[in-house]
Amino acid sequence: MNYQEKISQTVGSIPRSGIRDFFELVIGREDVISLGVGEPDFQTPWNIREAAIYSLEKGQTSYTSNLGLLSLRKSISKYVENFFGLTYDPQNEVLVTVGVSEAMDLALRALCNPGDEVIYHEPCYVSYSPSVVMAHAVPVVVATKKEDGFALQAEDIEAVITPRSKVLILNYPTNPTGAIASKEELAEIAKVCVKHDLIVLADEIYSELTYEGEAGLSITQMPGMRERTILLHGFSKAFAMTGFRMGYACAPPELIEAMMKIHQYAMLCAPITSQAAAIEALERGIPAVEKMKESYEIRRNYMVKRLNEMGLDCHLPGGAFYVFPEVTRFGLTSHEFALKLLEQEDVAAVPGTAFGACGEGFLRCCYATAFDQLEVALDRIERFVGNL
Amino acid sequence: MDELLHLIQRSNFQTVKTLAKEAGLTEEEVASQLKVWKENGTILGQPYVVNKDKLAVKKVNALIEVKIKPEAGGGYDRLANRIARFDQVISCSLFSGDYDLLLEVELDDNLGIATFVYDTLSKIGGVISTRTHFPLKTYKLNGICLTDDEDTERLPVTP
Repeated sequence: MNYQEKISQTVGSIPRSGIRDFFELVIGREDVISLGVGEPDFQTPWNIREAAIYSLEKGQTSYTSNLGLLSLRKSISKYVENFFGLTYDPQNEVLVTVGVSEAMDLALRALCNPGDEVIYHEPCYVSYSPSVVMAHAVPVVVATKKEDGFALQAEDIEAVITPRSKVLILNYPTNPTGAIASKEELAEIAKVCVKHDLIVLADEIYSELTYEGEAGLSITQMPGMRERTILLHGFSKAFAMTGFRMGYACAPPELIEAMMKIHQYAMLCAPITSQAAAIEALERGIPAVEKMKESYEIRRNYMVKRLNEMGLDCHLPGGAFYVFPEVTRFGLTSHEFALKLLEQEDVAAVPGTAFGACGEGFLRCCYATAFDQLEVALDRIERFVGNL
Repeated sequence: MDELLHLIQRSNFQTVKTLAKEAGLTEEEVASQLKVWKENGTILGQPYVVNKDKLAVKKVNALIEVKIKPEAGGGYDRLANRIARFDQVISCSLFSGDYDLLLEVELDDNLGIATFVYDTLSKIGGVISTRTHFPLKTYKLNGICLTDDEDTERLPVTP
């Protein structure tokens, strides 16, 4: 059978993920120290795991409300109010999803008509552009620059606005650059959004892991933005719960209702065990988040210092757990550099191009790795760079 | 400094150099803080945390609850100090509740423990009664879980 004919043209048009290509090069090699992961190196704090176990013991194995357990939505609402200073009604303004990835997909599909344009900033998380395409919309990329600390500039959005512009995706702190956006920058972006009547999908997944400036900053807080922003957040990064697949969306009722329509047919509800864990995370998990954040920050400072000392120039990433050093001065492309580093020194770091074309010349190094491993990896990178 | 205190309690294989890196301090800061803590008695020593199940020559540990008679003037202190001074006693604290002192003792074998209890401890004037507990298996020691999380299959490259 000619399967290519059978597969939808939309799906067929989406290229393979650069991450997956690189993954296949790394897998099977012994002794590799990986700086290539996109998740915490901590296991989920024990009390949260215990809550999941207890929920199973009690026999909580049923469906929940499509929106998620009301008790969880209440906890989310309270948490979002404390952390972001934003109020959402747990009855109809909060939707519990299977990770932020699902929430992002729901939002795009709920908002976009074929041909609508979705603006997003690169380098960025790998799913944005494919998710836009799968929603039959058109991804419009705005490159961010190292000299701006990879923060999106309002005038660069203005430059790509057309009558079809409908949605802007924002992700600060950013995977893969660790960039944060300042209050002033967000305020300027907000003005553009209001002026051109854009809806913003604010992916706040790394917001607790902010080391510079104010944590809990969101474009949603800017004047005129709450009504036009879908705040997307989750548990994976701050609470080290990637495998639980728990995310949520907060937005005005009409938007939540539209997203819920897709969610109820595609997913029905998020797994109840994970929802039980998420309640525990919000009610009693914050001190563990603080501890993990401290540990990331120490490792960030160490990695940035070492990389800069060895001539791998990098800006100070204000959030997330990635450093995004520049490798252009060695006359190699990101991919060549990453490949050689892997082959010669068994250190895996992801080429910047996996996160968009403007990631060329950069490397994503994740510091959510045990400190002693990090030290060895950096020694190896230093030796590698010295031999170039 | 909280991080430093945490590190020195949880991990023994630390030089000033590695402590400095992990706590995000300079080596000088670590050294001078350790000196202050040593001098003011905050840190008393740096014993290794040993998993005794791994030792070729086994020792036997036991916890002993001891009821003692408080004395006029000194309360429990004189007797507690006297008991604490035995080499076999690793730790000795005064507790609220059903007994007064809880001792951890370490000896070569069960007979050693038995001898210590009936020949030494119970003969001390003021000791009313003892109750000895032998551990069967240790799951966590000084904050270190002995049955650690299994290495989950964390993928080497993820988005």
